[in-house]
Formats: sequence, C-alpha cells, structure tokens
Amino acid sequence: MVDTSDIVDQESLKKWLNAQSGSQAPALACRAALRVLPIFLEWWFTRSKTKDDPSFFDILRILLSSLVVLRADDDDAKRAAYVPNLNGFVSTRDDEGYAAEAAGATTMAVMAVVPNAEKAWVDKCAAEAVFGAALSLSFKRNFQASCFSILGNDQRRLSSESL
Amino acid sequence: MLKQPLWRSGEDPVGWVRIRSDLLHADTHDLGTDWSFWVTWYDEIMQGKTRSEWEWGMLEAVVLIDDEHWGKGPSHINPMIDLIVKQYEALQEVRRLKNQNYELQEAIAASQNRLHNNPPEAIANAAIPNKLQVLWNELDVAEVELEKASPNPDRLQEIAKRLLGLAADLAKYCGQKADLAISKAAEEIGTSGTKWAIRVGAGSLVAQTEGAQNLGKMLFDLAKTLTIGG
Repeated sequence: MVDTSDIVDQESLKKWLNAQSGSQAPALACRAALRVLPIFLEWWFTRSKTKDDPSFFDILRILLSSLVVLRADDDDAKRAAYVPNLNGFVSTRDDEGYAAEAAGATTMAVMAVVPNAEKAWVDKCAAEAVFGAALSLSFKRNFQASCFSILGNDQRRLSSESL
Repeated sequence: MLKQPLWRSGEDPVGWVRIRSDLLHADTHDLGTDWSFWVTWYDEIMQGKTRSEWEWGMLEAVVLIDDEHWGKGPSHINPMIDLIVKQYEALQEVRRLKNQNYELQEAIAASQNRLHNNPPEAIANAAIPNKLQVLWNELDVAEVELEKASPNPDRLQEIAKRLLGLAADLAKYCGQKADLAISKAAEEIGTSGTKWAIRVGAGSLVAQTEGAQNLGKMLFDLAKTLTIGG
C-alpha cells in the first residue's frame, strides 16, 4: 500500500496509481502537462525558425483534446474521435532541453486518455508525464521543488477527492 | 481536479504572463496570426474556470476540426477557430435573447390582462407585443442558420439587417436613441409614459432592444469573417 506521502519518483507514483481503484491518472497527467505548457511555448518561440510549424500546434491541440476527452462521458467510439492521431509524434520529440521534456510530458498526458487503454499502461504513461513535467520545471528551480510544485497539492486532492 | 486553478494562490511559476503577452503580440515572433483563443483558453485553465455546456460544445467543435486543417499550422487553423467561436457566441446570444423575449412577452400579456379598462397607454403600446413576436421569429431564423455546420454569410447579413431594423423600432418605443445604454434607458423608462410592467429582471424591453442590436452586429461580424475566410 503506497501512501501519497511516499510518492517521490516515477516508480512510486506509478505504484500509487496502480493501487487506486479508479483511474485518476489521465487527469493528473493532463494537469501536470498543462502546468508546464508555457515552458514549451517559450522554448518554441526561442528555437523555432519556421513560421507556421505544425508541430507546435500538436501540443496545443493535444492538450485541448485531453480536456474535452476527460470531461466527456460519451462512448469510446466518440471519445476516440477527439484524440488526434499521434502516430510518429513521440519519436519526433527528440530535441534536448527542458522544453522537449515538457512536450514529452504533454504527449504522454494525452496518450493516457486514449480510449480502451489498460489501466496499468495509462498509469505508467501518467507517471512519466507527471515526472516529465517536473523535470521540465526543474530547469527553473531544483528538481525536488519542481516535483512538489507539479504534484504537491494534487497529491493531497488525490487522497481525498474523486475526479 | 481539473476544475481547480492550475496553481495555488494565483502563482505563476512558469511565466505565463510573459508568454501570453508574446502570443498577443505575435508579430515579434513572426507568428502573425491571432492567438486570442489560445490565450483565453489557457487563462481560464489557470483560473480553474467552470465552463458552461455551450462552451464545452464550442471546444468540442474545435477539437473535431479535421486533421488535414490542423496539419497546416497556426495561420490556417486560428482563423477557423475564430469562426467557430463567433458562431457559438452568436448562437448563445440568440438563445439568451429568446429566453428574455419569452419572459417579456409573458409579462406584457399578464400586465395587459390586468388593464381591463384599457387606459390610453395600454392602447398606445399594443404594437410592442407584435414587434416582440417579429423579433422572436427573427431569432428563430437566426438560430436555424447558426446551427448549420456552415452558415451562409449572405443569409446572416440579411438577418442582421432585419435585427438592427427591429432594434431601431423598439428603441423608438423606449423613447431612446438607437444606441442604447441599458441603465440610462431603464431610468427613463418610467417617465416615458410606458407604465405597464415592462421590466422583468433582465428581460426588459430595453435589454431586448440592446440585445437585438448587439446580435445584429455579431452576425454582421460573423458574415464578414465567413466571407473573408471563403
């Protein structure tokens, strides 16, 4: 049994998520990715040389889709329509630096809401997304503090609230 | 969890305020397109805003834009999103006005029933319920057009013109200029000789007049955007 106070890294978060009866992972991952979205945007502004780069838009679209999917109580077939085609998306996110991590976290957050996914897989993706977001934020502060920022107040909510 | 503000106590550890300014002045980054939808969207997430059903419907419509369009980048997709936002906002305004119109017509009918001896002002104002009915019909037409996946800009312009005409007619009844200010009009309405119960909370004749005027402008704007977008 993992207590929320025992969550210190990706593995312990995954264990904690696995032990929960319902899947809280998608909302947690989505929220973590949303928190570091501005870091990705700033990186993109600085690095991108291409006006109208569609890859930039993937992140915005994916996060917007995540929120719509998470809120929807539609059947799986309809929910699937909200999720953008992610083929090849992860492999193109190989840039160095915190913004790439933010993008990775974001991607994983969305993958965690793909309909019909197994809970264990969703929990794993969510844990990666949350800690990817923390790593991204850690370029602005230390990693421990970033983990707390990304996860801190959500941990407390997770233990007492339904999503 | 997703209904909560993104950070505690209004914190902004990732510098969103600076980024949002960059997005709103996007020329700096050679991103010359309107980013206001995305800025508003993220602002609301930061605040933990509770969205209404129609706002979720609008976001759903944005998400469901075809992959083919998303792949063409911000300068292609942002104007498409702008159209969706304008269409949903106009549709929401139509529905709000219909509710208001219904309440007002009910209140007027009840009020006139009470005036059994037909005082002069009741007779003089008999045309107002007719105008409200015409407005109701026009709102119905607007609703049908706005519910379409691709509203016709010419039709929207025609509806807009008729709405502005109706707003001007109703404004005359209020003894006001066409460009109304609700509070001022509400103050003066009691001295204009219109003594039956014209005000029912937000459903006043003045609010209805201003609403028709605003909706007319929104439809003109939407029609113009549709025409530019081809």
